[in-house]
Amino acid sequence: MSIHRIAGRRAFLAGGAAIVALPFLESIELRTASAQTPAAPRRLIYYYVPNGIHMATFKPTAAGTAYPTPPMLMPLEALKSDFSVISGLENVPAKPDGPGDHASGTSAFITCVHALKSETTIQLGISVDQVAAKAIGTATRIPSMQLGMSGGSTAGNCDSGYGCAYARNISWADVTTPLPKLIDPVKVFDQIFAGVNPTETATAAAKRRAYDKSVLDAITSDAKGLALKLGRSDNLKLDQYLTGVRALETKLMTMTPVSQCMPGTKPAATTDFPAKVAIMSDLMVMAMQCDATRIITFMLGNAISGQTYPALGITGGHHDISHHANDPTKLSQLATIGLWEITQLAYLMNKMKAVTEGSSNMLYNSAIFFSSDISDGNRHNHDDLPVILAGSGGGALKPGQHLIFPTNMHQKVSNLLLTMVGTAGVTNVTLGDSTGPLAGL
Amino acid sequence: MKVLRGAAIIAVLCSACTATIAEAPGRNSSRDPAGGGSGGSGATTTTGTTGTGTGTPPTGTTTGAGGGATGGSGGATGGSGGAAGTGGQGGTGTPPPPAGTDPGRITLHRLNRVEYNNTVRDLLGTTRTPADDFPIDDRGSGFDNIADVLTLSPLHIDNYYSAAVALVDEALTVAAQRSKLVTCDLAAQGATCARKVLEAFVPLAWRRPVTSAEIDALMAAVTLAGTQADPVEQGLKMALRTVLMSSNFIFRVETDPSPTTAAPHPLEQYEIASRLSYFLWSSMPDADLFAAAKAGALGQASSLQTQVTRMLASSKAAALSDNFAGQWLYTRQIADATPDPKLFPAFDDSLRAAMKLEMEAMFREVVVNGMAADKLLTADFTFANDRLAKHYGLPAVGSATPVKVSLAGTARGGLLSQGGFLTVTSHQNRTSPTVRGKWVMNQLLCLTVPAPPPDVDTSIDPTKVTGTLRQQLEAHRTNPNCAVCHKNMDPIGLGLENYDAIGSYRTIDNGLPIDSSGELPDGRRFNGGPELANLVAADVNFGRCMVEQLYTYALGRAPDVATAGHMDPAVLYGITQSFRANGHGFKDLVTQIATSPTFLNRRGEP
Repeated sequence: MSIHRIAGRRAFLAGGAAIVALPFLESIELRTASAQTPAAPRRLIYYYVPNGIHMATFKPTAAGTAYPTPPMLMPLEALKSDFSVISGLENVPAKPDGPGDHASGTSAFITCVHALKSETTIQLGISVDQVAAKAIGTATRIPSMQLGMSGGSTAGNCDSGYGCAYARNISWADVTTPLPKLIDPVKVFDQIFAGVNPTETATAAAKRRAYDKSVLDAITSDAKGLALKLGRSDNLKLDQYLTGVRALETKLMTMTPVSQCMPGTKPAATTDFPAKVAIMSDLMVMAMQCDATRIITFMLGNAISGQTYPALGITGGHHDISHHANDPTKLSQLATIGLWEITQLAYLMNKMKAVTEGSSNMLYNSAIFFSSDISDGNRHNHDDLPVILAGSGGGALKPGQHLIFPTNMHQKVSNLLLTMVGTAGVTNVTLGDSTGPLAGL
Repeated sequence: MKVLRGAAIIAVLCSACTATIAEAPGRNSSRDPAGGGSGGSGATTTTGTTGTGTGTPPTGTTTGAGGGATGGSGGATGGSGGAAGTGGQGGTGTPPPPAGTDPGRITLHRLNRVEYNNTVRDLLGTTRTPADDFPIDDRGSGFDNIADVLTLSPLHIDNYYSAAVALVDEALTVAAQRSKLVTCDLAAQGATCARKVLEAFVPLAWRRPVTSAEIDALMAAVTLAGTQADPVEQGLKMALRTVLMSSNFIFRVETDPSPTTAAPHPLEQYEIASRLSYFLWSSMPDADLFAAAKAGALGQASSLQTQVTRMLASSKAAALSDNFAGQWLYTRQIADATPDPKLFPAFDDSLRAAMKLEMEAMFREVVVNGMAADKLLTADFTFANDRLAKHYGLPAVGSATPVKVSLAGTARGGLLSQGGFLTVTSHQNRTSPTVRGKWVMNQLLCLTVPAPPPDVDTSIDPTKVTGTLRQQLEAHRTNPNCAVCHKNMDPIGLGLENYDAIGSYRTIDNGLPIDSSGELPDGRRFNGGPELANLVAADVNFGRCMVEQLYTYALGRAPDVATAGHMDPAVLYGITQSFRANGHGFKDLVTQIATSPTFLNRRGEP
């Protein structure tokens, strides 16, 4: 089956269920009237694909703006001026202690922190989306969203002595707190819209808040009392709990009666993998369009994903195939899977570009980081990573080029991630092994 | 960090396997499949009783928080501390480790998804399973009830809130639930009735007696309803939401009288009740347990033994099958298995279901009917329905539900010949002797095998192979770098080559006859699955390993064999000796764990 047929049979949300959004300008007016937030919100998206990438068909052969489009990037051909390929970056903290490249690479994906190898002590560091969420997340009802396709296996080890948390989460609130993903489109929809009642009167809203506040105050008080009777490790858990309670409070208290977005119809449940990817992309755009959030992470699979692609005519699981040993059949299968993954990215980018925002569009006002836990699936290397930086970051970025950092420069992914959050006004921050924002992107 | 499973570690490093045919142990579809068509979010909940109310609460209101009698417990018995043992040996000829004085501690334990679902089932009589929508719990040390890795994110709190709203709405509107909860006339008696409801309900929900101050705090919502000119019902609703959102409900709370010192102390009675109920039922204590806690009986071995016997006989003990065996034996993974439909058209959902039922029924024999645990491997009977009987080439059993059938005289018997096990330890398109061998070593014998180095091909393309899988793997093992690891794993799994990737019996592989001879790492040789099963069942490591697995699950923490003075090594040693001496009886094993000093004591954290 061809890629195009798969793309063509997506029954995505907009087809069946209308997204009823007020015109963008109206929401702009609401915002500009209220605060000094920028006229068009800046968005940050982190897009993870598992098991590395078939670099031979991904990486352009020439630098600059006039590079020939490599086979895997053909789905992005029409968007060539909307993204850059950045070659030669490395993520040194992603290297595991002994085996475990997938878990360590996944946990370091956007934390750029070296994971503690353990099944019982989870220790990593804050991820860049959360650095941004702490700085600008309060501008939206949901500071950041974590989305994915699979929760993870229900038994067995995850990767060579690394706890499962490392293999399933790219978003980390702090050293010990992974942020799990929403994997059900219906739940994503609820997360965006639940409790939003556009017809709620001011009086009713005030009453609802008073009641919600009584619950939140009581459980906060409970937890603080309990904290005194607990040890240090226990209190770490309780801190996670209280952090969540505060986030819920923000959400419940800022749920305004006049929403910028009317909830559309809930997406239908589906077990079809490609269809579900498309729906997740639709929901990402919807969440940003309604300004429910501006920061999203998305995992197309977990580390060591054994996803099967029967619709692409491929037998076997993705991870098994990624250990290709230069076998031509497997390399070809990897190229096909990679092409499919890029097609999903192109779908998202096209949808974002179609959302007009003032004189530009949502893609222009966003920055998307697309990469994998490793570079080559067989070598498990953490240098010369496959990286796409898409969107213009509201004009801060110069998409449309293939930028090559010689590998002997040892330029870090973390620095690119700093540049990226800079487009959203998050500056003077650090991340993992970062040394400073990367210029020229 | 602090823990290695088991003493015996085959510390070999497979440094540079570069041959083109190699297998990454465990890296099959069962590792962390990306959901795919099977929708990876399916929850695993127990199938036990629903709607069983809990009757008598841990009575009423006391003035001291977390009260309850503190009956004598196993006590942190003496011992000279000293160096840590190498952990849980129990092997013949190894001296017992020093007793140790440190019972360890279990970090504040968030209810995992199964525990949440079962708890609200027993608390409210609901059939809802809200935690199915919660994030999947991360696993550590093989289980998803390890307190240290049960983290909590804002998404959890968001989900708890949605769940609390729905559960309370249901509890106040569905007559069967409301009648148990609201036992007075709320409209007529107002706040008095609301208080009465809370005084009865909160001790159940928080699994301990509550103070009058705690009830006062909850009554604030009722007062608020008054000031808002709303019915008292509205206030009660918010108070009940608060109860279900509280850290006292979300966590299994165990407090330390002196949180910052390492002095061991016995658990409170109600804390022991919860340890027992979440161990055996993955749920809250019932009325009997609460009553025993109130009477201060849960420090006494005889009383604990009585409880264990009673609890294992309950249908709620099915939780052990779903949650302990489901993860120990990978039974849960059958739901996620994705054999290639072109190569294995016989694999469908009815076969999938029959395989799961078979494994559950066999484990039930161990839990409920007193079958020796090693018989899991060697039983000459199984539980099959028509679908599974057909798959195994047995006569039809005339039933869609599993019935006990004899396997005498057949090529099957025991876990290692069961379709479910054979499927989850295979790749999508073929068997994996390496994965099967590694599974036997890891899960049944607690022998660890290093993972392969990078830069190896872990799959074998079925269109390219010549000879049987055995021949290909043997060719691969001519590379000494690979052989050093694979010589331990492959010969175990090769003994199971008569069972294909969905457990169908076969005698031919790739056109050639199958040689199912094999060898264990210690050199014992065998021919075929049944002989392998006998050797594993008789292996001294089997009992040691099962003890370690159940102990980890029971406590929700990995055994600590590294910290000097820790009790775990000696406790594990003693339990292992007893388990073997008593013929691998499960009830005895559970009792040993439940009466061990590490189960009944804890300490603070300097």
